[in-house]
Amino acid sequence: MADLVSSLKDLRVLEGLAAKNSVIHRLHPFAKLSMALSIICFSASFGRYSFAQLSLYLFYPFIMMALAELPYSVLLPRLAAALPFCLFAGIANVAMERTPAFYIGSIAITFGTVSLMTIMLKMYICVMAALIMVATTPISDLSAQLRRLHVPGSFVLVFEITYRYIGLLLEQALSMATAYRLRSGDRKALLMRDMPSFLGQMLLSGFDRAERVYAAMQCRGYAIDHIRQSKKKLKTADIAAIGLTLALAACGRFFIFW
Amino acid sequence: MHMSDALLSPAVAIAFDAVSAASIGISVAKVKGDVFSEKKIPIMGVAGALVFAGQMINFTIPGTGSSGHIGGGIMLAGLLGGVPAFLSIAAVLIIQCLFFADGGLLALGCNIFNIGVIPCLVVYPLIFKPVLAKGITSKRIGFASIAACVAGLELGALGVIAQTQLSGIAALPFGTFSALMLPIHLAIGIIEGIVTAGVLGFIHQMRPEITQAALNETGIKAKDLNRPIAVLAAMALLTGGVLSLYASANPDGLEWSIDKTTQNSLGEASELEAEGLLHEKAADVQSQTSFLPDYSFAKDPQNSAATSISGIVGAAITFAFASGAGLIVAKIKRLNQGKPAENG
Amino acid sequence: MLTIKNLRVEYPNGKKAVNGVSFELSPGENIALIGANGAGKTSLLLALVGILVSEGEISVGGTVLEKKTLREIRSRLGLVFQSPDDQLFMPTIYDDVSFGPRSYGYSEEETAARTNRILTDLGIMHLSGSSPLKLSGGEKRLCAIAAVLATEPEFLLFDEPTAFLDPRARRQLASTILSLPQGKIIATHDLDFAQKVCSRAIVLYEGKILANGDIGLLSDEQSLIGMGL
Repeated sequence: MADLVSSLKDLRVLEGLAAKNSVIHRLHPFAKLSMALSIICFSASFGRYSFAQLSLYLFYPFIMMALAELPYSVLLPRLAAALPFCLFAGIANVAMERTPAFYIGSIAITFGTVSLMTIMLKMYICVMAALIMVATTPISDLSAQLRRLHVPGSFVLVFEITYRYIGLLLEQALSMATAYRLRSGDRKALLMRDMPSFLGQMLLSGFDRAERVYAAMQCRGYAIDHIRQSKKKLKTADIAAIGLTLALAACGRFFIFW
Repeated sequence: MHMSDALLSPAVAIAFDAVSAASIGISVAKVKGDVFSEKKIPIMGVAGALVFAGQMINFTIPGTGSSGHIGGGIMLAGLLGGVPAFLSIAAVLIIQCLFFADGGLLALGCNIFNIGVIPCLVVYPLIFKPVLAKGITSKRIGFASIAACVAGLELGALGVIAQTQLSGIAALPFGTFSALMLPIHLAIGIIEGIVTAGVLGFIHQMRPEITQAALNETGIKAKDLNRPIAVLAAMALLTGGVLSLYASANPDGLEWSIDKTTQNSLGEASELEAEGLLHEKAADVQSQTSFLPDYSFAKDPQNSAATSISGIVGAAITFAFASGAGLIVAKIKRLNQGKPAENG
Repeated sequence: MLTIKNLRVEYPNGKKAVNGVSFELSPGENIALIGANGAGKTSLLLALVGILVSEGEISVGGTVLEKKTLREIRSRLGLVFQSPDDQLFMPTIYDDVSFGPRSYGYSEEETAARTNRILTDLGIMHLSGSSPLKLSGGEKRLCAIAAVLATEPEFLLFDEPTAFLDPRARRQLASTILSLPQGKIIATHDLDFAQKVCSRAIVLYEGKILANGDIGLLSDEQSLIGMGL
């Protein structure tokens, strides 16, 4: 049940990071969202051999990490989630495209290899851009921003409740799994035939809990769409940050460096 | 299988983002029209969290020694109905993308489509519900669950393949890709179907009113779609139009002619390094100015890429500069933070 | 004044959870609601805020609970749930405490002012930005109380407030509860706690009031055993 433990830890660590205070943390959530999205969109727009041009975008994660004072030890391991599929596609490219692109000494570097490197670099930039945003923005700011962007209020509420109860249900799953392990001769994973009642019990108690959550919300005057948007204005620093990011994105896209 | 930003082109990603956003919009409107809507929102949230926690529980697959975990789309649809289940799954996918880097921000639309829209809004009403319409028995639950999970996962896998192919980042041909993906997902689908059937059977035994209520949910009808589809079609036309204008500014023909020009101007000395560099530069201009990445694989790839030692060296230099800049910023920050501490 | 007249609540299976309960709670008075598991304590509290459908009459300061006064009654009676985890559903404490005022349509400024005031009053301002996941049982309990106080209710209802608390958190809770001026109904198994914070005790047994009197009746062990406790 290592997954349960590590996801719980991950959530808490990210929350801790988002609660810090740095130049980047203080930016408007809209600024952080649009910065991340513009870097991701521009990176994605590069072709499969654009390793060299793409490298310019490395400035974004490096500088942002430093400005936001984020630890690499927390963010880097998360690349692992995105890695398998990208690696699979990249290695398939290596196998498919064996035409040499150029030689380093007598070693031929194939187009497939270049495209593998491009995919990996893209993955790094995209994942880091998204993680930097989340690691510097508390969830409440994020959901307030979603509301301001006219995402339906009830869906944002579903998102918030899901986020809130993930932690709790992970804890419940963990203690149920530990109890199971203790009674099953130290099994690391459940037997498949035990899954239905294990999950079923979790679901049933979860549904009961949902009823109580709803009752508690009702007691405090909850009615659909009653949650209003909070206003927050963009400051000069926010606009400057978005501008700089767009300038970097445009540089990579429209000028040739190498 | 979560789609990644690195394997998508912006056009494909944005198109699916639009479809998924519209699906969420329609579903929210649908749930709101429901009498019990207010009550369903906390249930959807908690159910989403349950799916997330459930996915972290590994179980051993008999006879294989390997372990699996659930996906949960059909299971949730069987408990809440398709539309609320879809909203739960969408919320979970957003959280996985943001907090666990599982599937990218740009790829969110693709993932919500493959893992949410397909099982909850397509497979569930078309396969799962009709099977159970005549009454809930454990046999029907078993059949419906396995069929729906297999169909959902296979269609989802097809979605991943199609999105990757359309984006043109991965070179794997459609056939090979499908041959790799579909059988695995068939196996996963059967396993997931069995577990789903078990869970739904368990819940039906303990609290039949839950499974029954889910079946009574109305789901999205054709009339709910009229306006959203019109809006969506307009959006698709607009994005498609704008993007293809971009693309047509750099047609393949242009590439070919650049190729021609450079060759003509430099004569036959195509082996010369100087020519190689220039050639790449020209191709570079082409690839720089096109917003869409190059789609075609059949063409001589040399023409569409800036790949050379100079590229690698350049990238290495950029890397050095970028990391250096990061280090300098960090150093300056540390010095600034040090000051007040010294004073105090 | 909170008045309850001949209150009856049925479980979906037809069994009576609360069966003809009547009593009054004056402003500033603290009543301990005692009873074994299943005696009807939680059902009684849920009926008071209209979550469970009931027969009989419930009125707060002359306003009778009915469909159109539901929102008003709920803003005047604050129910603190047994498990803070059922109640704190927002990602951060600040969001959760401001949920009530926001739902009742207070302006953003008023909501922020109330939230900050209550967090300060209860001494949990430092938890404002934290997620409920990271808090201790005692901290979560205080946050759940803050979330209820944010709508400025006239009466407070507590369901097992001392559940899962260590002795220190329990003492802190007692002093918090005593410092709040509202009249309170405190459903609890914790007799020591009840004696510390309440002046009157009502003992429920199978949905009916078995005893209603001075808190001193809880110190007579023989009579407690007689009442099924």
